[in-house]
Amino acid sequence: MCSCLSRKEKAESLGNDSRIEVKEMVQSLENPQTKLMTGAEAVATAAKLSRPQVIAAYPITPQTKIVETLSGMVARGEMDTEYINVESEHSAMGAVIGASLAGTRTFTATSSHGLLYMGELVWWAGMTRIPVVMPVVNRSLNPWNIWPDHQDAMTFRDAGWIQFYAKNNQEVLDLTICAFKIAEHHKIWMPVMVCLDGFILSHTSAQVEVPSQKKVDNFLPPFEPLAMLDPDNPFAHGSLTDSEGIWEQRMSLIDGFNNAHVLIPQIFTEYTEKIGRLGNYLIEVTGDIEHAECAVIALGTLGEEAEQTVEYLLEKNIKAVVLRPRVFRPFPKKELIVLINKVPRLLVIDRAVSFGNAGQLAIEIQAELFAHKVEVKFHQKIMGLGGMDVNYVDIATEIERVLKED
Amino acid sequence: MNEDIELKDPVLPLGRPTLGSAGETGDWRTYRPKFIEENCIKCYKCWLSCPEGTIRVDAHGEYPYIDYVYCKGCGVCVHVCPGRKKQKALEMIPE
Repeated sequence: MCSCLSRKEKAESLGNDSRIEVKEMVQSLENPQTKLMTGAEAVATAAKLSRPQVIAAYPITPQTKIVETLSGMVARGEMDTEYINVESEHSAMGAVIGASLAGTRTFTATSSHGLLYMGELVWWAGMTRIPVVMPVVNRSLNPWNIWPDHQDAMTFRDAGWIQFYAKNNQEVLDLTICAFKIAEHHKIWMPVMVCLDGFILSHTSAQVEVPSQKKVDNFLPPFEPLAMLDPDNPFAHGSLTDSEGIWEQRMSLIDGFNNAHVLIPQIFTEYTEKIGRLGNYLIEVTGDIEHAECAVIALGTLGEEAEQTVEYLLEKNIKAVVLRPRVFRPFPKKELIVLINKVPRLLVIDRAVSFGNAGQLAIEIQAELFAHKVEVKFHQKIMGLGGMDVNYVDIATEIERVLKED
Repeated sequence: MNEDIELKDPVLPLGRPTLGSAGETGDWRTYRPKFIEENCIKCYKCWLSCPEGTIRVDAHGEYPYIDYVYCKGCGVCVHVCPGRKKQKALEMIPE
């Protein structure tokens, strides 16, 4: 709508089109639509389609437009959701934990320092298994900025959360809807973090195919609590526990991740059949792996950028392949080893550092290479910290350096 | 992928309330509240204030009754007791 129209004119023009609007609304209920939206809006749309009953979030920077969009939807009555305005991220997760135990589907979102402030209760949710879905917009930590950096989410890779790293806005939407089903599966029952790179995804518009509400409802049934607070049958959740209890609980969490490793591809398959696109793989392979001279492993948008590198290097007669794990927890060890066995050399690119050692992804892959005695020339590189621009030529230069060194 | 492995059910950290889950806490006591019936005005402030719920008023008895198996001897009941003519119906005596 042109901004030079007066409010009256706008209302009149809307009034004339009201019949078309209703028709469009009916269509949107039945058919998928391709829309132009940012990653933050894609998350909000996915959350809306998934019908969470309680959302609690704190809306200050580095928080993104996710909660702004959702609060607008709730205020306009487009969502049947209790939106709790809290006074901090710590309280946001606290409210969500309580709401989840009261038997509701829950959602919150955060980013960067917000995630760190939430920290204590992120662990609480992870260790006591609260099936909340939380997108994390990966942004730089102190000295902070709004640009992409995986350091925030990597800080919580051990917190008992399933972690996805999305490559584009479409995958953000698909993974967020899947995340509810995965978190709430009675053999998994643990929180899910959907990580999307700050700014590159969260604030950049791209085409997103939005599934119809009918299809999502068909894929995602209403929330079924495994344990629910009930005054007639009272229990305390996560209170003081003796060593044996803690041990039993942690061992169960390890089993839970093993279950998740088996079940996530099945749920991805179901999503692909009922809604479309996603595919059931944990690691996306782009390029000709059988003839590749070098494989690049990277998370999120770095992985997507590397896909362009593959095409770019083909023009120079260099064959490369990209392995992009989109599920980082549970770590797709077996799948990765099968793929790595086919390539002569590896370049692992991290957008975060475990200071005092190396990039987290590189460390974990090295451990697997040793465990399986895989003979491969291993290279690692830390790129793009604090949102430093990494384009496909930068990655190509690294691959050429690796090829020259060997 | 081992698709045929047994998927175990999650263990949730649920604690169910039981009577005296920390044992018979009455043996932590150094002082015990002693009840003096003639000073009691049946205001039941002691019953209302007991942090451990160890003071009972049963359906028949009109006077409060202290469960010494769980009373930790904190003295709150003695503090709140108004008593009759400034004579409290509860006093703390060494165990």
